[in-house]
Amino acid sequence: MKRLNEYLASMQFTIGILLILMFWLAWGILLAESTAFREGFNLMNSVLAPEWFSRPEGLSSLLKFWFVGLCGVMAVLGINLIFCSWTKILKLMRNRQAASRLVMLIIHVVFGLVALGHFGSFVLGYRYENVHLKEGQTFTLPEGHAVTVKAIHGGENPVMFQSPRDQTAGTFDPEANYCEVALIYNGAEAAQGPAFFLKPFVYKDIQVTLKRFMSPKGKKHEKADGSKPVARLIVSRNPVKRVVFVLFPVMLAGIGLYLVMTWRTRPADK
Amino acid sequence: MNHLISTGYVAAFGLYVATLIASLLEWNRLSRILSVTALTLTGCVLAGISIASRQPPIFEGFSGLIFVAFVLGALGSVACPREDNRIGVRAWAWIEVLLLFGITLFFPKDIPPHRFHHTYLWVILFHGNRGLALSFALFSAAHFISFRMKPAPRRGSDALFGRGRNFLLLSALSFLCGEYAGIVWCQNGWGDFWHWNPAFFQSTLIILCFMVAFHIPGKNAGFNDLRSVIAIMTPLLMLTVAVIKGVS
Repeated sequence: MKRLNEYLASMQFTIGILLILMFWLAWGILLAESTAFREGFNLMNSVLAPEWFSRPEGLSSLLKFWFVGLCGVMAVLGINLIFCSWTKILKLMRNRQAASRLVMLIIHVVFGLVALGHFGSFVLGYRYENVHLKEGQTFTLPEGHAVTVKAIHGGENPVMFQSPRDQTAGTFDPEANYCEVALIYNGAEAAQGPAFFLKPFVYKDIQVTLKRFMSPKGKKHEKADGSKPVARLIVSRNPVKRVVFVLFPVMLAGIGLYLVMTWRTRPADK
Repeated sequence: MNHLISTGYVAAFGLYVATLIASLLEWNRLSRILSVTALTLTGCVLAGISIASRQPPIFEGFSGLIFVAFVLGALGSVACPREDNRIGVRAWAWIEVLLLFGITLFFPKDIPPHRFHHTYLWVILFHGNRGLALSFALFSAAHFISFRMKPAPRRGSDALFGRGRNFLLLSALSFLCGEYAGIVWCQNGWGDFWHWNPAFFQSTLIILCFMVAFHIPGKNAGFNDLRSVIAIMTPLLMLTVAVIKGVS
């Protein structure tokens, strides 16, 4: 049992898992680049993990295997992190360089929490991509919520959403091209505000992101009869978002502090 | 403006070649003067691109790599340790700068068009930190290559190894700062901080490469050599990703 504990906490084990993870992600790059699996990855981006498995037209078996394998390897890395933290870092804290070891422990724990938050964002809340709404139209969300587009101003798309062939050096005014949205809760308006490009409307955990404008007929660059464009929105709710956004800088600060504390020392083989 | 930028670029390239030759011939004073002049010219090229495009010179393949070469050139000019051997950290830094300039030969040198999101803070921080991370990683690799060229046994207590490790950790920190800016950008632009696509996998691959470099166990010289090899491979992976992104 002691030998198993030592193995699970060992750096050799960490390196082995990291190498498997690298292989797994390199495989993921190949899969994502292939046309056969592009649709699958698009689905993974547009809805949360439970739907990948529950939908009849969900992910292919290979993508399911890839994702489950990725989660499995990450889980093993988590086990290694827990064992390593307890049996090595805490032990070393009693020795010299205790302060830098403590910072290292904090960095590792926070890394684990950030990774957990990442996983949580795949399964918790909801995500609706490509919600097309005209002025006055409403989209119903779970838990008694709905989102309404109250007004659309302008309707030009910034160059970043155009294909490279269509990109020009023209200026784009983000303040003049946006939509006003309202969040409805149980039939009553709970909040309202503008959704700009790169400046979404946020109410509690719910975020309404303006992705682009489209012509009423659904064609990207056409405003056929002068009528108002359609707003293409992404509506998402991620309850663990704040955890990740707060802990990530804590991890960065920890690494920065560790770097400063150990800059003059040579810890590599001491 | 395009003509001025091209002239400055060619002159800086030539000056860095002269800097490397002077460094190899151990004409240290001349090497220093040449490197500072080349650095100033590279800075002028970046300033020219920035003024003409009204955005920081960190986005396109050409300007992005010139930015990396500028930071690496600055580190090579001011942050190199004193060494006895002819091909030391400084010489390797100049070789890396020339490698970057060599790669930029294959990229278009037109002024990039002004784009709305290229003035967005988080996008600037994302690309800027990535450029910085690559510069620090290349500078770290210059230390590790120099360390590997020393006669065995190579000890981890060696000053070169320690400095290489410091700059590699600085590179990892800068890269992660860029990742944080990237997740804020992604959250505000696409409503989520993670996307299942090759760009995100490549970033994670680079982070894993850093993690492998910092987690290699063992205390003997063989493991130090292995750490050095991984530390040299990390900027190569980062550079490959930057080039692929620049080409696409």
